[in-house]
Amino acid sequence: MDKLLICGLGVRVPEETTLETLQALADCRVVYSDLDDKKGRAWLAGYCKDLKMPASAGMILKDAAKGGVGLAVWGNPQSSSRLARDVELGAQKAGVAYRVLGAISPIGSVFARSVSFLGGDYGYQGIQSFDVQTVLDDAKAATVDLPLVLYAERAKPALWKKALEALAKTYPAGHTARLYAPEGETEAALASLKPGDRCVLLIPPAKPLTPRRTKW
Amino acid sequence: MNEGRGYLICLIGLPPGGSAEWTASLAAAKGKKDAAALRAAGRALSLLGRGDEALAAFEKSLALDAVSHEGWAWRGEAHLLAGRGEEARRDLDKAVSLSKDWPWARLLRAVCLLTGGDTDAAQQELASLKVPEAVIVAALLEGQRGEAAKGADAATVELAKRPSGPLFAVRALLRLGLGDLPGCLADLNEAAALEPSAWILMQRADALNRSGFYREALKDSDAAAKILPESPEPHLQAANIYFDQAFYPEALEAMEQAHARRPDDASMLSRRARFHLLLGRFEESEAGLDRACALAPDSAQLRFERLNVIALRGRYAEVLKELKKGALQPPFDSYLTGYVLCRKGDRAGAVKHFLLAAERADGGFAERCRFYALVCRVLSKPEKKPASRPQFYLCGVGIHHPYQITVEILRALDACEVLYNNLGDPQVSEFLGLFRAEVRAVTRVDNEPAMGRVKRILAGLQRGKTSGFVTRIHPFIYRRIANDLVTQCDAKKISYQAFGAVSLTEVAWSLAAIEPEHGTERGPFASRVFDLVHLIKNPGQLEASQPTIVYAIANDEDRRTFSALVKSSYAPDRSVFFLAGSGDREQQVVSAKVKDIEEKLLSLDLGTVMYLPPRQ
Repeated sequence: MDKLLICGLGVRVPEETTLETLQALADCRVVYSDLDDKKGRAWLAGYCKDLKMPASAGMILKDAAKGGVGLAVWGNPQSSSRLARDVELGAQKAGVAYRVLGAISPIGSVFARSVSFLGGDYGYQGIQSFDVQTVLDDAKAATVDLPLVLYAERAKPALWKKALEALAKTYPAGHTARLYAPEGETEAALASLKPGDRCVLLIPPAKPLTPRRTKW
Repeated sequence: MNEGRGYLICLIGLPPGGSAEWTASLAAAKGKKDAAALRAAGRALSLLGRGDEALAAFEKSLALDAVSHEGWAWRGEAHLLAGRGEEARRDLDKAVSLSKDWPWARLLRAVCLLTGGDTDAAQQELASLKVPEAVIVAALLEGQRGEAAKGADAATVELAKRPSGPLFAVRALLRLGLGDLPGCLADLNEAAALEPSAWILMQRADALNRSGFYREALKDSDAAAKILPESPEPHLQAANIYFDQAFYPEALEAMEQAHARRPDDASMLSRRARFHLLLGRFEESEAGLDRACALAPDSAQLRFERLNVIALRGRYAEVLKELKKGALQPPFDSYLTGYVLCRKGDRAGAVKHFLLAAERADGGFAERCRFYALVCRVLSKPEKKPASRPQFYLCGVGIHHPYQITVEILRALDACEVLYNNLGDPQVSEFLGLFRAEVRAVTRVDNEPAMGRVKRILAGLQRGKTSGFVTRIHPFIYRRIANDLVTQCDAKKISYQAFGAVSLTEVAWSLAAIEPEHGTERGPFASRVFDLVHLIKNPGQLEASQPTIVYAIANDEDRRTFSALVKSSYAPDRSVFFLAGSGDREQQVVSAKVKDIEEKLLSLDLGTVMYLPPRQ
């Protein structure tokens, strides 16, 4: 059994949770999860021996020393979870053996929901993804030349508003984006969208990308 | 081809002309009844792939001369070629006891030990052997110990002194183990030029197929078949290559060729039955297994396979009755009971049987039983029924399939009446058999445009019946067939729903980030994902402060340009990571320093995905 297992549950829990992750978490002595969504959390509890809300990364690392500890976070662990990052870096520092299981990221989720492609001569040739707070911290981090996936597990409407208003200034007037929320999806001009918790946005590039051409 | 056989043929090398030498040897022994002639006939038959006849000749030879070290050694070799390690070891021990100075019995015993995984004993055996062939086995030994580089270096030294086809082929195998596919192919080209034996050609076919050159691979399999006209092996290889490429009718034809060479071989019948099963040809699969069971009535494996096919044909009562009568031993009895109950729709009932099977099994089979128990557990919980279902579901099952399937895809598959798939993976077919749907493999047709497959799938859709298409990894990342499917669905106004899956992006990222060479820098919560060709045309879009994933499907020239771009953006001693071979193998990343990126990237296959950690 792993000392510590770090898992993502996908953007939509439980729909996008993989059975590989579910099995690994079911095998753990205790699973820590900071998932806010009550329905998703209740579902997860049905498969875990003991599901706990973590108070801190330190608490998880302390317990991981005994082995059989799982951490389950929204999305995929690298995309947005500060808790997963703190636990991972703490495990590295403490020499605790750990594994990270692949999970559906906001990009993977939004591709399917928007029927967008990456690669070939038919899909996008590049894409960028940002946690909404990252864009607020550094408005220049994103480029309008690539499609942009913007996401947050937890973000108040005011935070989203600020981020979208800042972004809207960098795109042509009226540039539209598609919002994927737990309640459904909508398409509207960037500044008029109203995302909240567990939302993902797909913002097309300011100009269409040129299709791939290569010689073989 | 089993490992023992691979090592052995490496040694023997099946010399130029291949079967000609052994056929001539057989002809020379014909009609002779003395022990030496029978021994020679036995060895020739063994090396021509006629194992049963070889053993009969050795029996007669040893009955006449029971103290011939050669007789015991060559019979041991025949056992090794057939994958019977224990019998081989007994014969080779006897041969060594009869002649301690004769090197071949000891060399074969070293191979036997190596095949059984006892590398220390094999090394001890090799230590005092002075024949040049010992170097070949020693190099293989290093490879088996996970020291492929050491083995390749030893082979390089020996090749400078005595270049030979088998030794080039051995270095090729070691280079393959090191992930150096171009080096492996170069060595196999040298090997084939020196000694175009069937084994070397088949090794090259395998390497070519791995590199994506399946047509060239098939040419080598065909050439090997001409060298060994009586052997089923080259035809089996061709069948597998065709199958990998989803050319199912051609795969079956090649399988028939193999079967024709061993019509009464139960294991061959079983392999053909598995092909039939994957193609949804249940009746032929069952008939083949009926015959295999009649030929090998004691084989529990064959009984299991037969009952499994009967379960897939929906004759549940028949299977359960047989199981009640004790047709199968644990854990297979519980497993098949669970499988039947799951197909019948009793998911809650199936869980305990799968868990019982898992308790009594180990390794991969136990993992599969536990996974199926979880599948049944998830499906047994009530789902909020959707208002209406689409006509078509488009599903990806991740990289580690079917284990990376998501909950929503599981439920979608459960609602389908027909399930198409282009995976050609027996494990996925077995998994899809858990559902009530009819499973159909999507065949490729040579020179048919990609859209052809899609049109055939959609032509099979029936109004009011939900169908699904299951593909590997993420359906919308480098998957033309998925693009063509949604394009056609839109054009024909067919309602559809698509699901996301774990892709190489997430796997490369998560595997690389935990490597010690990665360091602690994680960058912002952001990422950029690129097609390599796009990135070299838009170098300004590479933002080194962010985690970056690059799909390296590109020619060598573009890969060189990309390497130069990375070198200009990252420090030379920074590590970058490669997820090589985007197929179905166990995934792992390899790292290289930025300064060495070009050499590494050029050595990896087309499906390579790169992860560039954020720059500090």
